[in-house]
Amino acid sequence: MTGDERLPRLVVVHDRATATEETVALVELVRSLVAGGAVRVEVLLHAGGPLREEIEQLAPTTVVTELEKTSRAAVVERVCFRLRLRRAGYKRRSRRLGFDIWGPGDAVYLHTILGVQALRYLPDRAPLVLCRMAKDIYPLRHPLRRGDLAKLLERVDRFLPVGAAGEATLRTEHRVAPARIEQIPELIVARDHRLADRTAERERLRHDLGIAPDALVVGSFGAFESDAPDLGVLLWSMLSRRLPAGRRVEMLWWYQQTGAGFWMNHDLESTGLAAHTHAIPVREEIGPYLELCDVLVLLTRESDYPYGFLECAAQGVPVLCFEVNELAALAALGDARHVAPYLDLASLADELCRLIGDGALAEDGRAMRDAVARVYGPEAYGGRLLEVVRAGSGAGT
Amino acid sequence: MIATKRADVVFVSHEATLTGAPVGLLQFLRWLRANTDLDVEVVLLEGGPIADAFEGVAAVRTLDDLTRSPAPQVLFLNSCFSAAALAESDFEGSYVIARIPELELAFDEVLRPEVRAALLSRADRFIAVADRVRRHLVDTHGVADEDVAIVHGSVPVDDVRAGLADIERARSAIGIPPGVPVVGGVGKRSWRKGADWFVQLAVDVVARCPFPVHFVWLGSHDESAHFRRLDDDVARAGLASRVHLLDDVPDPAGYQALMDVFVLTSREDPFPRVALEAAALGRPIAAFDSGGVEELLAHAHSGVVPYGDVEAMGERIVGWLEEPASARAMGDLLADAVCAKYDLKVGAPKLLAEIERGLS
Repeated sequence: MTGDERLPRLVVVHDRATATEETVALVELVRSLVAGGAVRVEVLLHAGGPLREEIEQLAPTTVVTELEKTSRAAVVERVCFRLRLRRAGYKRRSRRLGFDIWGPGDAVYLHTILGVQALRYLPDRAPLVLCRMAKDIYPLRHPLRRGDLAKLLERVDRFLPVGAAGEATLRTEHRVAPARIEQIPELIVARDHRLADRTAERERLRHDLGIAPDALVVGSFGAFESDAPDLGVLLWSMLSRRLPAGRRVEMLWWYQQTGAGFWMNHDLESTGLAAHTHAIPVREEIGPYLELCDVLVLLTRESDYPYGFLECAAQGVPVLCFEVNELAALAALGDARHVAPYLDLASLADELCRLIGDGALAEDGRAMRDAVARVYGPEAYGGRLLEVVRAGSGAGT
Repeated sequence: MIATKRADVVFVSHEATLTGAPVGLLQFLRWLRANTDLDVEVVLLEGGPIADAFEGVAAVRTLDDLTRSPAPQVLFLNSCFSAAALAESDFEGSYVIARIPELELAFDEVLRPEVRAALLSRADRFIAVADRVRRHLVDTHGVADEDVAIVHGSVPVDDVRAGLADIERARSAIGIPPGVPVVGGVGKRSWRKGADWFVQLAVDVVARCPFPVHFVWLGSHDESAHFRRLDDDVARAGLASRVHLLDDVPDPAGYQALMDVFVLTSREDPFPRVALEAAALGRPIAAFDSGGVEELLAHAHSGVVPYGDVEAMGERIVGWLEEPASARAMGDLLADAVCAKYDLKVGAPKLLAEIERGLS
């Protein structure tokens, strides 16, 4: 054990140290927590991966699959599991991991629900357990086995959904008491060198879609009627009438052929926009397409938003939306004009035109990136996480 | 009812709803009954709220009855969808008239290909409800120009009347303050009628107009989730006190006459009756480029707004609201045009002449 023994202990659990957005975010969260010095951070990984070394340099790290196997304790543990004495086996592993003794204020944080296995190594009551419910709308439908799901629902003291949809799922589908739910904004970290370079993939996609290298790409995503593809087409036609001569703009539209689709296609054909509109069926992975966009517009009639938009904003892509959307507060940090009253498409078209026309795109993009870092970055997320830990510990959970 | 004698004319209507084609047919049948002694029968492929009214003007038979009876001298298909009757029989010996109140979307996309093919091959005569429809038939489907007559849609102008009391009753029922101008549209709240664009238009006009304006849409929604939700869109946009989405009313003339400007937001409308009714009431009309309405507006030296250009339509409307005299002048020209060219008294004899061609 290292660090100041007087500080509360926070064990950060993650499934594996693969080079993914989730793990990069975890690394930055650990870095921030360690730098903050308010807790004694340890990391438990179920398996290693390319980012393991970086994590190990930040905080004491244990990789479960690499626990030593020859000591007497390890052999006894293995025998217990072979004899199907699971409880005894987990108890021994708990001891080997140092998970059998906890002090006041100590906590375990599962960065994703895939960390559920760690709950079996914990005593029934202490420590406080928190679990981030990541960006999926239906977080608990992630492929967890029934027993794992039951364990998660039974042992986690505070679920941390990152949006209203996750909170609603916990309350209605899994009947989790409101007192066990604390909604906190998502942790977003901009892509960097640690992740695979997707430039070539982006260029191939751009080429496949027939988007000229000098064309600007506006993304507006309305898969279902409630996501307002009708407003997307109207906005697109308003924008096209405002564009200065010679400016090439293409629209990426992530959609599903619904009853409205027939009419939307008719609108696109009738307004001459079809040739510059690229419909991406919802079955396609949205990420690579999002990365083609220079600016994003969200027109949904719902209050939530695709998390891909946040990830793009973190990369410096301005996002425009209506004021009724949950994203509005963040979008406005890029520029107040990025948010329009509900249905005010003319304002959004004016704003898009300004962004596209006078180089404001880069400036607003920087502001957007900084805003995301401030609101959704590791410092902000870590601060909120520790607040929940303190509140949970104070409540004697 | 299987007839033993051959009817002069059998009209086939695809339905008996309160929509343009069936209502127009009903009015024409009333005119025929009052002005001719033709032996007339009607086949309704589907029912609807005005089915009983058809019973009042002609013998109503089923398609099955029709196919088992001697083929009529003239088979009058009142819409392209009525051509579904041709799947049951080729009506050998009948002179088949196909009245086409449809354009590209309905005719090319919605109509079943086999019905379209039967219609195009079997019809002896086509009646287009607008020149735009004639061009579509000739240019796209290779119908011989000489086989197409243009008989524009028509309305019984004398019946489309509303007095001041009717207008005030409508204003009061909706809750629009006295003197506040009204922009209105009529039709089913559906994609085809562009009810979604009507709401966008309201957003645009409110932003543009320095004085209060109210908006009235007359016509129930199409049962789709999207159009059931339109009220919610209006409320969230802060327009609930100004935008009134109303269901069908039994006597709409007072509501139509209340409209200082009538807007046709349709995505496709070959020659809409609601525009003729608005014109008969002297209302100025702003319409998207969506069909034959341009032929009506030409009488007022006006044109259509580019397809879906809500802002251009908003600008035009606000111009009229700010200069009511120009709006009135346009409305007067349209009213004169409807009386002269699109009154049922003018249109019905033209249709009758087409039928008489077949009878002869």
